[in-house]
Amino acid sequence: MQDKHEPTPPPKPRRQTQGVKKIDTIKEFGQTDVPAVKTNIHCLPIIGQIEGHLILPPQNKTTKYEHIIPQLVAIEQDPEIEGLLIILNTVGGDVEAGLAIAEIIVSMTKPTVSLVLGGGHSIGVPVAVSARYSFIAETATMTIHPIRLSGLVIGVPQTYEYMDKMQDRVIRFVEKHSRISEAKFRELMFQTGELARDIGTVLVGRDAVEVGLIDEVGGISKAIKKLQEFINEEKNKKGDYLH
Amino acid sequence: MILYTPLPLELVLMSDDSSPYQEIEYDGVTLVVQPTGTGLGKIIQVKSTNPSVYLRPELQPGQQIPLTKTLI
Repeated sequence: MQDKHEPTPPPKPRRQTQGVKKIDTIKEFGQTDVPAVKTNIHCLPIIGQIEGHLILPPQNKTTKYEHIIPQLVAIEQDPEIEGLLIILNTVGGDVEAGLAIAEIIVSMTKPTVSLVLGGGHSIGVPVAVSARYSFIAETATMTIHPIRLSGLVIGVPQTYEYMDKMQDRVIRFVEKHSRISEAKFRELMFQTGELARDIGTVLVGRDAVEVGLIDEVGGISKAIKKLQEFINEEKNKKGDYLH
Repeated sequence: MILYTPLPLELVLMSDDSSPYQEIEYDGVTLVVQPTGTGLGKIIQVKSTNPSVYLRPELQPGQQIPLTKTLI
């Protein structure tokens, strides 16, 4: 550990004088001197596990449902925010929390664009397709596989039916909000010989676009440009109502 | 709870010691900090959807920040 705390730290030369000065102005005068960077686009990073009903052990990096939902509500309401960019690098997580986030994004009136960077696996798939337009980086991957039950599983047909129902929620959502058909998505989900430990498929960049899951391969420039296009469209629409 | 993830479940659910991090609100921004004693904390993560928050020099990860409410 580099920054172990010493008992009596000698006064260090202040390297970032600007940062220190700003904290001082907050302390002394109750004012913040923040550079006025106005942005009309907010960015929602979804990283690690999506956390819902249970708190996961601390070695997991998590995106918490209770953080994301109020942020989305605030974005929807704030008149200064005109668009939302969702950046995904997630390994999935809680089904209910993931679907809840996806449903909120779908029902937003403000333009939304998603960008899968690194990975958008499992429950990350519905979140990625929930935006009005979706992008995937050329090297990013998306894993589609069946849902598993954790904890005590009772080996009766009802267990299977319950799991099937949960799976259908995800499949139906993805089918409704992307170009992929239900049959194709199920085929990818139950593919054998693709994954080492499981059945399913890994889609890399362009593959996700070819099967119709994601709209386009691209990066941040394309995503922002698309969002700006949507914002302009929205503004024109509003203009039409006025005149 | 149904976890839908390609990670092995034993890796996700493996219990560890409790988190050394703490979540605080500073000037309207949610921060994950690691308390370093003397009422200060080191910023580990900034949680905000506003991209301009990430440009603020006093909120850069690694910066020390008072854990108790300051006179804002």
